[in-house]
Amino acid sequence: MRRQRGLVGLVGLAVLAGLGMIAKPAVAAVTIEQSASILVFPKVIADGTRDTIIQITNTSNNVRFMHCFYSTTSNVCVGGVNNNAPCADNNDCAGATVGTSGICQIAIDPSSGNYICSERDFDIELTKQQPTHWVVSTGREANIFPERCQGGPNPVVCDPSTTGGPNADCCDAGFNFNRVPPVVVPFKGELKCIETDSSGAPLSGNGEKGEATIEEPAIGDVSKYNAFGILGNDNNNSDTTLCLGNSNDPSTAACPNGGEYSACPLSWDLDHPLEGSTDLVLGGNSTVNTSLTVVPCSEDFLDQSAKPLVLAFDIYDEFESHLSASTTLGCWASFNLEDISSSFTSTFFHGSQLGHTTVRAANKTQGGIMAVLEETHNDVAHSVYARAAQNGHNSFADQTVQEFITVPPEQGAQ
Amino acid sequence: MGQVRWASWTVTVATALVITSGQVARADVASDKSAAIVIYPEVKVDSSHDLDTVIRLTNTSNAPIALHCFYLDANSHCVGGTAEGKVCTSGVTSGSSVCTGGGTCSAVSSLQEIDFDVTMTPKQPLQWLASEGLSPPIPNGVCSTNPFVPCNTNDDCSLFANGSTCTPSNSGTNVPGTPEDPFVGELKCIEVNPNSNDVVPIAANDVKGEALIEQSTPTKPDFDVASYNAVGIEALLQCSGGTNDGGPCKSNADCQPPTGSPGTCQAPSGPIGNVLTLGGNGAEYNGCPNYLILNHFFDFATDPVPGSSNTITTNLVLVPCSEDLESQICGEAVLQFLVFNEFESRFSTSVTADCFLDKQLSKLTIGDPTKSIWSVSVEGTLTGQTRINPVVNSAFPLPSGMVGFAYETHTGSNTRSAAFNLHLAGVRADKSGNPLSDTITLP
Repeated sequence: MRRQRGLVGLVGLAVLAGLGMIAKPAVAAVTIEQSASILVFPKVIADGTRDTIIQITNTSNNVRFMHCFYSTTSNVCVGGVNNNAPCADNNDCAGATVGTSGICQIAIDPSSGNYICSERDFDIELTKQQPTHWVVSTGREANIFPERCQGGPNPVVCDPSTTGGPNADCCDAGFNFNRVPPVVVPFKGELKCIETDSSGAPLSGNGEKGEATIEEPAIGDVSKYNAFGILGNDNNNSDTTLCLGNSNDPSTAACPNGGEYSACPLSWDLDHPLEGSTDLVLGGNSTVNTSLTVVPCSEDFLDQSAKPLVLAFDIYDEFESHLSASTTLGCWASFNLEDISSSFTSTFFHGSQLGHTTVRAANKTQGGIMAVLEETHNDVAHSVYARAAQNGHNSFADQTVQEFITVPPEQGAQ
Repeated sequence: MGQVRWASWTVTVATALVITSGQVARADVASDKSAAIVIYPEVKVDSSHDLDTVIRLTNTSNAPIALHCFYLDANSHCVGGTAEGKVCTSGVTSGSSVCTGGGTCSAVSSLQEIDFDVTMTPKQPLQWLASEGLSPPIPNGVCSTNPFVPCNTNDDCSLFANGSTCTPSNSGTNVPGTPEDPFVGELKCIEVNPNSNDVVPIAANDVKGEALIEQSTPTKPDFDVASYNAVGIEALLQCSGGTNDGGPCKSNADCQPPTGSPGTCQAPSGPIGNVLTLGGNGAEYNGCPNYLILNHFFDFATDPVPGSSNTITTNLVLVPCSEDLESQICGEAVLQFLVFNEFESRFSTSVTADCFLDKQLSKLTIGDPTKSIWSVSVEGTLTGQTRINPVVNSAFPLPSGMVGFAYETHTGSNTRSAAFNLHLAGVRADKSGNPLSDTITLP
């Protein structure tokens, strides 16, 4: 009888293996091209000059729900009469008289040394195959019977000044069952959306994709990137601790089922012009600059804090020259490459124009990251510029540290 | 004894299922991973309109690599008349300013390829303007004991003592400019054995790339840049040694199960011939997707960002996965489109595509674009989802899957554009569910 059970177990194993249901080793399967269960938009801007359109689509034939978070760093005044007050920039820390002003800096918890983050959350619901969109600065009102855009003798067209408002015309046409709140401008941060069931419990349905379009309306400039998707596995226990990737011991207290989602990549490959190089098309009187936006894979929306990650950069040019650099990441960061280090400049590479950078978290602060590049091509002669965004390339290297996304319990299953 | 046979049979089944379950090539062509084949679906040059493309190509490995690349010309040309062979726009017929003297403009129906080699040093990035190419002088190696002496082979360093060798170099690289101006077409690069004088494809996933399509506006100070990631097709690798011996893998982690002995992820020992099989039975590379999914604004939608006065249109760019570069035949497919708006309404249509497609969505089908199913005034919402299924038609000489990207154009006081990669889903199969392969035949 015991032998019989063993045989049955073996047959079961065979069937499971054939169906591909046995948990596979976690590889870095973050993707920009497959529908996923967690969408990450690392670069979202609504600062009064630039704005962002978010597009999310349900690629499945079922109704899907997502719980979304806008997340960014918290800034506080350091010094001056407004010491420790929240701030957006140094103007908020200015005092009335000389010597009473402070400076606006990223807030750090003095007891833990962690960066203090801030988040704002909301829910969206998508019918089967439904696409949706919203403008980040305005959000979108809940409205399931909006006016349609139409041509013909009585055309209805979108008036952008109504976008997101209660009287929005066909700018917001489409089913929208939940309200997407506007961000507080200026906002520079991340949007992360997690697939859930109707109760709010995290779900590995792998049914969503997304894109972000960053615009500067005054000049019409536009750049676009795909959201990063993190694939969900079948073993999701739907609690509020989301486990990304396997650890060596998959059955930890926080992750009794092991990795519920794909692992984050350990390193990213980024191609970029070296700072100060010229645009190949425009030639002499032009420059190209690159900004790198990075977010950590782990995120604690309950404590709203992030451990500092030391980012290590290895930079190679066309001539096999190699330089390195490093900087620190908290909740969210967007760097001009030359502000990280002069190692990113064309000058330091003796006039080379193109760089290939590998970025990863340093060994002692190991953790996964996600990265988006945005190049600004400046036509100096005519004082015009244009931007283009790119998703980084990630490797298949395993992420040995298990990552966690922690959702506040009251935002989980209800 | 009977039980032993039963157990042995079960183990055989289990083993077979484990192996076969892993042998099906997944549709994970990807533009965010290094790969063995990189495809730039669209490269554009038009010096009369200050239009050019920057090609970037990077070796992500720590070893030198070699690539064999092809520009595939998708220009239309005049047939007959006094401007025979001149580049023209398909659909413009006799009497136009291009195809003079009774000639007609013939759409591209076969590939005209021009090929070249690229060698890359470890971790090296390279870039070039499509119109100009990349010609010597480009980085040569240097002697290991005297870095001031350039070299191409170890023999060039034989004068120095202590076994001086030549460091990796780009020797052998000579990238031509595009064969025509104006030019529109595809660039495809395949990783090959760096130690062979012949073109011998190898199973190594070391290369990534991007393209930037740039255009200045001659009539006013304006400038536009749109970039996309090259589409990568990975060579299939397998575990060597360990518990997962022979199983598919992408990294060593796949060959290191929590229990059992570890192996290493490496190229299978069998050589790849001049016919590269993508997906399906006998796959050497990952398969092309069964569906391409595009999120987009419907054409002529008003940009909803407050302060904007632009209208938006989207172009779809597709190239076939299957190409016979020896006989210059390109793959074809019937593209079945499913279009969804934000009210969950569904529309569908179909179009035949072959060597190269770059069309505004609302012009994919014949007729008034404002009445197309991709027009905002027909759909009623600003954004939509389009699912594209390349369907096999056995009448085609080379049925094929498709890959590509999209770019959206925001037109107002300035015209700016942004390119982005498509989403990919599914494994290609025929109506009976049998897996389908794509093939690239090298000369």
